[in-house]
Amino acid sequence: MPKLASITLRQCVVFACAAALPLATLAAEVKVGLLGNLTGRAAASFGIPFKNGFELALADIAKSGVLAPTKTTIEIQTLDTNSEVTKAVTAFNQFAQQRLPIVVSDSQSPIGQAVAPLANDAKITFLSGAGSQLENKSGFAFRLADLKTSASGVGKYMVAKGAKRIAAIVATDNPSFPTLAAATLEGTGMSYVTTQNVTMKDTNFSAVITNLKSANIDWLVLSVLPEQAGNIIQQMTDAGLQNVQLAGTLAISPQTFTIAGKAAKGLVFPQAWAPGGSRSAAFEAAYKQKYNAAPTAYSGVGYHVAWLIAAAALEVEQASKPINGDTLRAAMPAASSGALLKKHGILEIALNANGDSVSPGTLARFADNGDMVGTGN
Amino acid sequence: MEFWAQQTLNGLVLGSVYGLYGLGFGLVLANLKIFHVAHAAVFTWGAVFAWLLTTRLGMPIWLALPVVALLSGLLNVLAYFIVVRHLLRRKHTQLAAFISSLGALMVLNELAAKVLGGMVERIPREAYPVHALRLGPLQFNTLDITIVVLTALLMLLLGWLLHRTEWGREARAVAFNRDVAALLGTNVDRISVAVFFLSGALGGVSATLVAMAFNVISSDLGDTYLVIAIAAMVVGGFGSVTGVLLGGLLIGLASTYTVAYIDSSYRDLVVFLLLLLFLVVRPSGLLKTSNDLERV
Repeated sequence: MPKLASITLRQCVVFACAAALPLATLAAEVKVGLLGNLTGRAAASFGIPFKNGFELALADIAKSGVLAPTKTTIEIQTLDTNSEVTKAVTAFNQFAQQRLPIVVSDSQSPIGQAVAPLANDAKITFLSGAGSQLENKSGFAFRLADLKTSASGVGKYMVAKGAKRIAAIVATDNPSFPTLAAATLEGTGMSYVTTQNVTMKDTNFSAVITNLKSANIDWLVLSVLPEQAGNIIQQMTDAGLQNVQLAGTLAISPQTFTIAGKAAKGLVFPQAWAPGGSRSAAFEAAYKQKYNAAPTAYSGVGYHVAWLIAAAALEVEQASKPINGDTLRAAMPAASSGALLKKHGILEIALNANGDSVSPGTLARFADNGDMVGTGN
Repeated sequence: MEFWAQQTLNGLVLGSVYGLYGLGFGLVLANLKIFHVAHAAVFTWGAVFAWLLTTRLGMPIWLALPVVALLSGLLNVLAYFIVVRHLLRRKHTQLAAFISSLGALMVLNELAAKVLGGMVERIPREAYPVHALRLGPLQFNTLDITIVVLTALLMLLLGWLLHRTEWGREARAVAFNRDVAALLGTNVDRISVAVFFLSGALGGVSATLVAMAFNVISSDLGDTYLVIAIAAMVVGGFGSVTGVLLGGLLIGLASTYTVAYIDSSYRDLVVFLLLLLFLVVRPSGLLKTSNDLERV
């Protein structure tokens, strides 16, 4: 009988330790849900480069030891959205059931717009690559893309290059693209000679190209998905419409060059980040070594966002608050322009409490091999 | 005038693709009265086959195209045996076959997505060099001509096959009444297999043309054009080879003129208003089939 009592006591101690252990670990662990567009239309341009950049940053964060004093760790859980809104919402609900404090979406305004209200209801901090306005009644949603500043810059660039007759092709079924086209126009101070509306699933642009030909334009703004932009440029070349200068939006990615080839060489477009800056040389080298490919703007954003989360988590821990959606949300604006981001981040994105971001971005073009190169702010 | 002529040419090229897709789809519908929606997936697989042959095996498109037709035809025959054939003797055949075909569509689309790695792919330009051509004010290219000529040739070939050969007579007899044709000694199963093969082959060829012309191969490629193909059949007349092609051309032109003269955002609206108009005013389509005339 005494033996039995002793075993029970030992068991109690073991159980108590085991029960306490996860609590101690959870206190310093930030579980990040990534709604990755890892397959489907947004995969190659946005989802995969973003995830690669994010994972690279997690390794760098661990290596740097910046979170070591607070014993904080960041863990990523990824679910594939298949580039579809419905699957993204389902994935978000799974994250919400697990009570993750923060969820990240790499791109696509429709996904951001569908998930933002849910994130506000569930009090989960939501960082979205969306450029369009998000519903944000409780202030939990942050959008990472500043469409207006960079697009307006492209408009000014076109005017500086002597643009007289500008047209636009706009994918109207994604709210970001009309916003981008309007912001680009704002920078020119002019009106579009013609605006051709398409949908993101359109593949045949022969009628649209004939319309553009008859409008006698000298500049064309492509406010569409990157692959679609490449397709349009390719079809323009096939149709003999080649003496038109091309401008893109934040959505342009190396996929555009993959499809259009050298016909895309003259295209200028804004990016949140482009290779070539001294601040991101180490990131570029590490990315190329790990993934055997040049990083894109979305790789850069993914990398920066992981550091942003680390910075916010650090602020929360240093203030001796628990890590949850509410505390992370409150820490985001200050973290976005704090010392850690200034040292380790590679972009200039300042978030505000309303969930908007301000980013000057950079102007980019394609090099001969299709890699993006920066051409200045 | 120049603008109109150019847009008309654009519409004819687009309409040819619609017509070719509709032809393959319409063949099965005319023969078995089955709404074989998995044809959309066979179409998608046609483009996937073309992509695999040109990228993995480095085939030029002229060599890949007949192989694509063969593989797509065989895939559709496989679909016939697995999805349709065993349902032909059951009650409510049409509904059962439609549901079964819908299941096959999903399975084949998912498999295509796996093969494509969830990405949007394209046939490399080296596989089919495109040259710009000019005829007076009209600008077009070698690919446009290939699409129009190939569609015309395939339509003529199909018309000849259906109306000038013994096999065609048997196929039309099966289309008119499968049971009576069987009583008269026609091997109805053999005819159905051949129809499914032809339908799949046409789908494969049209998918390759779409992939080349519009520079896109995705796992939902066939779904995008399925509704248009149905519209082409409604407008042209179910079961009529010429009718479906005419329907495709009409829809291609309507779609292009809408973009040219109204606004591209009204394109689908105009196309489906046209479809509704035909369903209400002339449900038999532009051309009545010989079956309809015989019934009358």
